[in-house]
Amino acid sequence: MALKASLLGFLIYATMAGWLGALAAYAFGWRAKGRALALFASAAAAAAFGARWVGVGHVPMQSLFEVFLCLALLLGPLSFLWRRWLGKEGECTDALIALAILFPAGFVFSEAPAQLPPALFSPLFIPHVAAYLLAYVILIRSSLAAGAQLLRRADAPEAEPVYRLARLGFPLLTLGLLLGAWWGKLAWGDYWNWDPKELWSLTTWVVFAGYFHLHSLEERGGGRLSAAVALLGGVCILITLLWVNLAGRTFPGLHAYTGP
Amino acid sequence: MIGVRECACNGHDRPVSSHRRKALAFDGGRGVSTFRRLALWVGLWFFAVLAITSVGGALMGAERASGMFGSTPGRLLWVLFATLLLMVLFCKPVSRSPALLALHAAPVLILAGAFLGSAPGHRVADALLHRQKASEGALLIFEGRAENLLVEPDRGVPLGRLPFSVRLDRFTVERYPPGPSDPQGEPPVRSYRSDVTVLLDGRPVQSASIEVNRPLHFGGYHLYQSSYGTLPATYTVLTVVSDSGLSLVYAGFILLGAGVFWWGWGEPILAHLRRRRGNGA
Repeated sequence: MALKASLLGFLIYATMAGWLGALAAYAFGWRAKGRALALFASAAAAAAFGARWVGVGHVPMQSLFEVFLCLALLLGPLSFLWRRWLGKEGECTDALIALAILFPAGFVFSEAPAQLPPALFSPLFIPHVAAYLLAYVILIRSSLAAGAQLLRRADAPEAEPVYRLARLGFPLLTLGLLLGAWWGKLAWGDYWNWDPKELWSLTTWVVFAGYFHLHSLEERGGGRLSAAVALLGGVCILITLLWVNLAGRTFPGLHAYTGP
Repeated sequence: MIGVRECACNGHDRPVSSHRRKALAFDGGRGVSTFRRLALWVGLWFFAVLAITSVGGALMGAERASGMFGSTPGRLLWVLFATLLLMVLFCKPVSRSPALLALHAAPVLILAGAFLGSAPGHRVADALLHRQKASEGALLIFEGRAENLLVEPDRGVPLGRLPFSVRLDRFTVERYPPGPSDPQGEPPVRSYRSDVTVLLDGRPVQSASIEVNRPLHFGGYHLYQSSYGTLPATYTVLTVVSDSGLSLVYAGFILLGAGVFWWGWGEPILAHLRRRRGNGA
């Protein structure tokens, strides 16, 4: 745990303050004020991402620190996109997710930049990682909505947000997987290498594919079993995202480019 | 399948086309028919098995995972999976939706392409087509020399000879400028490059630079920059991979990508637009 005494650190803490303020405003029922603060936080997150970009001289999506910065950048606009699906409690949860993403970026992960290894010099690098990060934010949100549904012990109505969000995010998850396979073919000679991170991302894909099939089995959709599977999908995403970087010493693989 | 469910709930305030009315009758008005239910459950069990073995594979590491999925039970699972997908293509909800058709046909193409590209696929094709094509191997070439002997990458056991030779004209390692982060050792590698000439019957036919992310495609093989060494003299190691089945795999990728975006984004957007137009009229 360490404070980051730099412009980047300041911008991260400003983003966190914005989301914290938004959370408080939502809790008091001041939705307009909360949204204004969320907008401020989104702008601060964009500034932090931009500052990092200028600082390291390449799109910052490489180390775990940069990945979390990017996740925080994406959450703001996405929160505005789906707020009509999730309602008032959804906005509260979005602020909590943002704080959970920003905490490790602000206090835990090292911001020391790493030099790109040869395999990362590819025009496919940014689309591959960007598709995955977008998919992860959307699907984690779906998964949390499923968790909330399970806590309420309720069968969701027809147009439930879990399904809508999962259907929005799943194409991006597939795109990330396909771009990764194509890139793997170009860089390593094979589109599939049975690498641990590949297998975890396959597991995630399969769990969400299973969710859709289960959802179409349920008479009116939104049953508890499919919600549990969506929740499991979120757990798989967390493991995939953190696996190589945190367990990389135990399970080395092709995706272990940089430390945490 | 979304269309069916929307029909079942909103059928009263919207005109129902004739084939949709038939589908409702087929489903008995409940939305999910018995056969479809069975196919979905079988599919779900496949997903469960795939997810569990995939987690197991992630825990055991790439080499043993590859062995597990390439073992006889593993191959049996793939064949059953492809068969189920082929059957599903002819079932009602899937066969009526272009997006779902693409989504369920794509994995079959990918699995078929993967088989054609694998070592057993090459043995089958070699026997059927009376040819000799290696599925994978490595070329170790010293600077200034030409080589066509394909070896096994780890132990260097000879596998056979390629129908063409590759001459290494020059090998280059480019490094980052030395920085403060690595005071004692050499700075990290920025790129490796092998400048090569392909020789057919001793005559040069093509010159190319092979780098990480930039393989050379020649004579049914992709040649990748894989490793290098300097003892006893500068040499490069190129991984050689057959391109059999690759176009089928890529076709599957494109179909899967197009299908999943059409299903996940295209269909809901179209439904939304149709609903808005319906409300306006």
